[in-house]
Amino acid sequence: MLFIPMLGKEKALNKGKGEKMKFSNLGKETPILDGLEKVTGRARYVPDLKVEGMLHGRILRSPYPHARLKKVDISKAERISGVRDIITGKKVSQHKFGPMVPDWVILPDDKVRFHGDEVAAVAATSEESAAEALSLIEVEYEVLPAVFDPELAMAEEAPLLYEEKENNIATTFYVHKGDVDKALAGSEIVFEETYQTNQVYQAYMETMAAVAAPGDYERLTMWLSTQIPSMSRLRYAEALEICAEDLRIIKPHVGGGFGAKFEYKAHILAAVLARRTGSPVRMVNNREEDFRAGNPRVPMKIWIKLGLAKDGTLLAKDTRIIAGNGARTVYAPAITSTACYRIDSLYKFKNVRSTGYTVYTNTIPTSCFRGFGNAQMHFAMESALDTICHQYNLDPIKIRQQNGVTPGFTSIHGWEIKSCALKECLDKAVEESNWYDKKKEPAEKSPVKKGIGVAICNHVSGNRPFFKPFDGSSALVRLTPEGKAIVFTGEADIGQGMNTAFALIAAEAVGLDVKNVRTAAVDTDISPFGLGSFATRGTTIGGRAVYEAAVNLKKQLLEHLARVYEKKIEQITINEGQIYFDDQEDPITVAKAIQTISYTLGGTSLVGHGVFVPETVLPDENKYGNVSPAYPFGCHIAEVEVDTETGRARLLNYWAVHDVGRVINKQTLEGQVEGGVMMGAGWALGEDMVVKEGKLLNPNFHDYCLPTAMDTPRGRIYSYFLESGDPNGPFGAKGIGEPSLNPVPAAIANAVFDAVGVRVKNLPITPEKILEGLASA
Amino acid sequence: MTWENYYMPLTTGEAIELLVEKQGKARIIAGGTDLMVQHRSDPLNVRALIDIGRIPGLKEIREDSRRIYIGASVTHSQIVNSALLKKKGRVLVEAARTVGAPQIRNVGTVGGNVVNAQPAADTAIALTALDARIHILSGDGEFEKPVIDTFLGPGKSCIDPSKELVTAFSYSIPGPGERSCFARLARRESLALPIVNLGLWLCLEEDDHILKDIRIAVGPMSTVPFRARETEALLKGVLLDKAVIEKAGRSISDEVTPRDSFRGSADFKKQMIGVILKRSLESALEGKGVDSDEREQ
Amino acid sequence: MSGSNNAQAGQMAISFKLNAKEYNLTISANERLLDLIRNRLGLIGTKEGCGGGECGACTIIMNGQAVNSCIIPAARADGAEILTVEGLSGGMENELHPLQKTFLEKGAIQCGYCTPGMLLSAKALLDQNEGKEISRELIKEGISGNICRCTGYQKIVDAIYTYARERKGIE
Ligand SMILES: Cc1cc2nc3c(=O)[nH]c(=O)nc-3n(C[C@H](O)[C@H](O)[C@H](O)COP(=O)(O)OP(=O)(O)OC[C@H]3O[C@@H](n4cnc5c(N)ncnc54)[C@H](O)[C@@H]3O)c2cc1C
Repeated sequence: MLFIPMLGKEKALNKGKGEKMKFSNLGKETPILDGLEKVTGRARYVPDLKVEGMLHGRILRSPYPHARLKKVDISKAERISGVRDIITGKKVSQHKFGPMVPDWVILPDDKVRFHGDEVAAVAATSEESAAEALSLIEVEYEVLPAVFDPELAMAEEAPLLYEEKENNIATTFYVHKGDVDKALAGSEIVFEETYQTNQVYQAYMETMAAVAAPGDYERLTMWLSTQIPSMSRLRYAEALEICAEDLRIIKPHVGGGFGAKFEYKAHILAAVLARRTGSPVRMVNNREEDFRAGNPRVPMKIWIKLGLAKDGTLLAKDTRIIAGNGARTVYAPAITSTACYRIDSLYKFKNVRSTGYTVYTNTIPTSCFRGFGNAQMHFAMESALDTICHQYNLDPIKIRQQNGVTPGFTSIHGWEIKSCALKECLDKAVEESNWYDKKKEPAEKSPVKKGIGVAICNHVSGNRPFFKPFDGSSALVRLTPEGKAIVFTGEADIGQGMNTAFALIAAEAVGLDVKNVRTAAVDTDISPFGLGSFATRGTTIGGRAVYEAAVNLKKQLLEHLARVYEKKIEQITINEGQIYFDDQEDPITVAKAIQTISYTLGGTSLVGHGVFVPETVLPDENKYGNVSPAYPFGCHIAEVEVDTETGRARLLNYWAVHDVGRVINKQTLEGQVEGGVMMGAGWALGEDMVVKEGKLLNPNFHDYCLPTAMDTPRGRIYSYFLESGDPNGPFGAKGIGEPSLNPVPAAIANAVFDAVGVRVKNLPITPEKILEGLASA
Repeated sequence: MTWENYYMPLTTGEAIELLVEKQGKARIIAGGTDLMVQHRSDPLNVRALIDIGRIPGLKEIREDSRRIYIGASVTHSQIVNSALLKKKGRVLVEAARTVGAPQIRNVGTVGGNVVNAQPAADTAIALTALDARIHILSGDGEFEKPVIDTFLGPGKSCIDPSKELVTAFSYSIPGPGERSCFARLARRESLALPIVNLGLWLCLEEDDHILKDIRIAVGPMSTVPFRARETEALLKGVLLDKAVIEKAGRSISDEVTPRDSFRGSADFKKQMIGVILKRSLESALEGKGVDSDEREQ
Repeated sequence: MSGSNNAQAGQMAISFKLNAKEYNLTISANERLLDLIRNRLGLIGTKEGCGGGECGACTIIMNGQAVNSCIIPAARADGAEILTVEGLSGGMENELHPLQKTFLEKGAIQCGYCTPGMLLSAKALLDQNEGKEISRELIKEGISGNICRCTGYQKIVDAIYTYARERKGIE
């Protein structure tokens, strides 16, 4: 048996060869290890930092979506007392850089390209002086024609954002495998539809923030609220034209990220100001500018055509995507390509084709947001399948079981599905939700109707093409003379509880009590390089590196124990912080032993070093490769009620079943799922960045409606975890962060359809759209 | 520049003295949930703020033999928790309960809600439905008028908070057959301004469903909190049954003139106000929302 | 009249009790209470999430009620009794308020940025309903001014509910 549903208690696990394995740390509900500082308010985030002599940075942002900078006059602003420096495009280097496309400059000296674009930056001794100075910078703008809709931006007559980018197309992605036209021609069912996903905001509670401080040896220290400490070090060194070694990045607690906290202009501006003034500079977005100039989700228009056999077998998929890049490139091209083809490894497709355009517009630069394009495509694909089932009287559960990938399958793009409990996820969700009974219930007599909908998902746990040189991780585990272990990783916990997962993995691998293990904050001067928190890779790749380091530590520990206590290694077992010798009744504690050992080693700690570079394959020109060491799967079922008079849809109950490979920490897994479901529900049912003529109309939490506690399901979110034991993940674990959100909008859209027969194809599912659908029915 | 002085007078007399002394350069602040937020984007051009939160008389909810009095700096939370109002001012309690979130209700006041004069201010709509009167104090003395007469336009009140102090609101104690209720629709369940809202007060003939009198206040259906008088006229003296209720819903949709806005299109608002009027009338018919002592607590 | 002005323009003297400690301070008349707490007193547990009363990250308890300190003038603290997350445990370094403990145990915390405000809203709610049974619906309403983007609220509601029942001796 490959998978066992985990219910939180310690479980004996079948490790394939019939040998029983019992975990002392894994599979339980372990409270996060950094929870104490968080409940007491002692946890420090970047905005809480105070560095002696710290200046306050502020950014002047463009009030126009597209304008030439004719003159930026700072003479009045400079005279404000407390102002230490003001930079404009004229004062800084104009070299180009950027995470994917070199279309960034520190500050532009020619034109601004979105409402919120950076024009100038001020450093002053107080926030008030900085604000006053901002208001006194006189900018002469020559307003240029602007374009906001990606499709319109591709038209011949559209104004260009960058002269060299024809039709405003930043990048194009194309993939074709098999023969889609032939397969479609031979399909008994051909379905074609266009779906649209809107621009939404990650809405992490801590806004983008940086403190940059000049340090010894002419180095610069940056405390960042970031998901990618190591990578941003490389990119910021490039931006600042310095050696990466001269940058030290420290990541304290981070108040959420959800994909937004990658390379960010304000961080760079803080660094520039700090270097120029020789003083520490604090740059913290206020909420409005975080809305106006953050990195929201890539909006997409997705045309999809599916070909199926009469029995529901998927034969062909053809898609075309137009994605909004915004005014400069962050990660939208990678997100578009993900939308184009990641879902092809959820089903056993033989013929797929996809074209994706990432298009510049005079709007906020878009980027990563939990799901990374795969979420957008899940909405299209899973909605389409639901409609097909309805039209051709197919069973939406069976069609997914029939076509879904299975263990040992290699997808059309070469992705090797080693572990997969997709089918079992569907079974479990159907059973727990009473799907078939609910489907049979007669429609309600009242104006409020109930409905139920299903969607499945896949994702990655690591993404080989994301950082071209490699995808992998390394870690150190240090056992101190006090018997405590500290995990050093470059992977960034931004609130998901990854540091706790790492500690659990290390504890389990060495045989320690997790209470004596912690994970150090990332400091690039000390921590190994880690790519960071994205692609649902932390637990799988980062965790596996920690596992390897812990195994290495254990090996060293055993050798030293054998030496110091004059035993053979085979005589020693370590478990839950106790060391047992087979010829001795009483165990000794690790703490005592390591102290003894360290005295023989000049007081040193033992340090285990671990590396994990999975055997993934960078996709070739035809996008053939194997991007991730492991692929997580899941099935969601949403139950909603829809008021047919007001058009409002609400969640009643939600069932989320995920194949996570192995449960490292049940509590944080549930936390990820519950958070992912509500984030998806917010997106599905109302969140929307309303932009008019390039200006965001709702840059605040009052008008941008995130779900509150009262918007949670009337019932509950039920989550279940299946353990397929992946061969690559630490103890078999795969990721959860993004899969928890991917299927949500489709599951809800399908439930709304089930309730009232209205198919909403463009997110969000607003009362207006439901009423319109009802009226035209 | 912003204010340099912040006063917290203990009596209305002191507050008025300060207003007079500062000659229009001071401003009343109650909870500040509107004022402090407006100040962020549009700094207040005043020398002093006069915080009225420490004046005991302004924080009282009381009744005399004929009327109920609600002090101007009574908070939304106070209204929600008032035993007296739960019995004799249901529309107000229900309206106050929908304002913002607990932190806003704990601080925001009914006086601020009315003087801030938004067309869909929740308690302002409820007070309008109750045909409440506003009691005002200034250097020139004391006067009162119908609440509805204070609204001049979106965010515009005839009350000048640099000269005048609202002290209270009052309305007649509900008699037999009187009921009231409040309804609204919003984009989410908390922390949301209404797409539409409605305060309903009605008086039924004893033992049957003939409407003796009715007041319907709705927002944001005009530049100010709006009394749907045409629909009221249609309903007055009529036996309230399903058909009439349907007709009332259609009537109010035709009567109101909302604008397209960020929170919804004009058409959507028109349609929704019909739905919530219908639902409110239905619930009144079912005996919900009964005011006055006849209702068991 | 309380809170009257000092000689220096724009400055005023106030006194208040915060986390059971008395303070006498001179503040700016136009300062926000949040800035007083964070910058002057260095109590960084109270967070700023939006600056407009729309997210609850800056929630404190003032005179028994949960309020958003980002939209309250600091001057109003004069004579008030204030509780911030730092005072929740009653000032004991290594002790936790039972709510803090249940939040921790039940996984009601992820990134932690909303946690202090959430705890204070929960405490205010429980204090106001002393001796009464509290439903999940009432809890949801009680914390509906506090946005949490990580947890989806379920574990937070569970934690508060668990403690509310323990407190009443219901198992
Ligand atoms: C996050 C948030 C959510 C909100 N949600 C809602 C909602 O759902 N529904 C709603 O209706 N409102 C809402 N509001 C608006 C606001 O909370 C209410 O209008 C509140 O009732 C205002 O009262 P206040 O005491 O805070 O007013 P203040 O801000 O103190 O004052 C508002 C205005 O009234 C004047 N004023 C106040 N009291 C007097 C007086 N006694 N005499 C003369 N002038 C006076 C002031 O000078 C100022 O011009 C919300 C606000 C926020 C920040």
